[in-house]
Amino acid sequence: MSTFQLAQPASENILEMRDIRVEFSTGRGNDRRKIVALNGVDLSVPRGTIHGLVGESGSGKSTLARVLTALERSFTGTVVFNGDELPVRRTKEQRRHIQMVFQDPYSSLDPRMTIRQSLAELLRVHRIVQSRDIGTRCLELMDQVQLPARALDSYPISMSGGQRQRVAIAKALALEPSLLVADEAVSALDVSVQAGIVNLLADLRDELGLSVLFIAHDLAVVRNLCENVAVMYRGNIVEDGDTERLFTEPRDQYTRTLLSSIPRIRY
Amino acid sequence: MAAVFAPFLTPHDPTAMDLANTLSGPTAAHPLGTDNLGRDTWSRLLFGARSDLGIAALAVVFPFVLGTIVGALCGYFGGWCDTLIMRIADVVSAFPFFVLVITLVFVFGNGPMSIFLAISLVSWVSYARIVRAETLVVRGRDFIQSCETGGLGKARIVVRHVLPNTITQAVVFAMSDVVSNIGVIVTLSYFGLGIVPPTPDWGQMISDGQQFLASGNYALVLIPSAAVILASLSLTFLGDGIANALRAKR
Ligand SMILES: Nc1ncnc2c1ncn2[C@@H]1O[C@H](COP(=O)(O)OP(=O)(O)O)[C@@H](O)[C@H]1O
Ligand SMILES: [Mg+2]
Repeated sequence: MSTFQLAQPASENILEMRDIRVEFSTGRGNDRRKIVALNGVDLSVPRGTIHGLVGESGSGKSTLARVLTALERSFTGTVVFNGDELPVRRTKEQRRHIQMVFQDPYSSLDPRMTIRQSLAELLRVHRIVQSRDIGTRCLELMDQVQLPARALDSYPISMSGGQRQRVAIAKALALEPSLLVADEAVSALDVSVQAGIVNLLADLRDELGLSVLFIAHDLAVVRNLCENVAVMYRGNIVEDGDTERLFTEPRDQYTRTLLSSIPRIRY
Repeated sequence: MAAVFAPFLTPHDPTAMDLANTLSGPTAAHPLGTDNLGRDTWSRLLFGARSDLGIAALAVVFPFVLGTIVGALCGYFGGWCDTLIMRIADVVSAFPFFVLVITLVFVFGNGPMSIFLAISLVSWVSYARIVRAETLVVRGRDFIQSCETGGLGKARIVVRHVLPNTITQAVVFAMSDVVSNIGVIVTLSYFGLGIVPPTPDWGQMISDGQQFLASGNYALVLIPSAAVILASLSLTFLGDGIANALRAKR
């Protein structure tokens, strides 16, 4: 199995987000309201680690992921990636380094394309490998996400949620990123299927040195997988640090509330 | 099908007159009889199909292509351009379809080209609307966002990912649009606004045949009318079939 080499470290943190603010305005006329989705967020992800991001629904986790991947362009603050500040409008090459796996595996793959077509398109557009090596590279990617080679020529419709999520990870890996953003990537899956994906992410970290921002609301998963965890509440990061310390001696009141609700969140 | 092979299936030139043999009933030489100018009804029927169905199909293809492209671009990019084009679309569709087409045919003059232009100018709007609405839905789905985070270019996203996922509805509509176009063309020609003699067409055949209804010769009206109904029905079924096939692939 071929693996790719990450660029030489330019800084200790693969990602540093500083004072990120995002506001949405909703409604019209008298109903017009301003929602502060991110209220000056700072977040650093050390290279080669999996960083958890937890918080209740609506706390701004997805918005943060969208800022990071430049899907959301109206924000203030700076995103420093690999030591360089990223502009709001990014080049193809700048986008390549940060890849995302979405929450809903049933909507995140183009239903009209086979898996091979999806992978080949990315490899070709970014000239990752030469044309004649595309087939081989597709096989390697399938191997990396532990899917059978024959799945390459099927359409997403014939695949389960877990398989689709593996394909989504393969698509991300095709671009040889340094940071993977997984926005609730396992939340929609059965518990047994979740474990497979979580193990896969841990393997990718260990084998490729991939850094991951792992957004979740299942705290048990986060505790097993992540070196560090950030807790988000109403657009602010209220606590951020070593996973074990955060679980054993939480400092923030909201973190304590969140931890005490684990039995209710788990199923 | 029959219309395409009309020249091989017809025993007579559809415009050839045989004034000695007018208004005849079915004979071996003229299976559906002849009209008042001694022209073979069967031949005129098939060649009429060629002109009516041909223009109807052409007048679907052009608006389909134009409307689909406009709809996808407006839906995906939005902005003032989208607003402007959709306002134009609103204006066009504020008038009843027939009124607008008849007016345009008046402006352009009679003939197939003019019918084609008139229908095209009005009906691209439907395709643009359909594809735009579909595009708005598809644009919000994760796989399009995933194309963006994957660094694919906008042109590629629209052509390779948005269009293949939005075009089904437009194709389904196109099938029913052919049928409505046949109605429009036959009607216009019936009123003498459309296809002009000597080119045969079903609308003219019906209106020419009308004068003989009183004398008990129904065939000259009934035969082309039945042809219109049959053609419309079979195209409708064909459209349903294609629509089902497209949906199954999803
Ligand atoms: N496009 C948008 N327009 C308006 N409000 C939005 C938009 N996206 C997110 N929000 C609001 O921003 C807040 C944070 O949302 P989100 O980042 O999706 O939270 P989470 O992923 O943690 O559940 C929510 O209150 C949500 O309603
Ligand atoms: Mg979310």
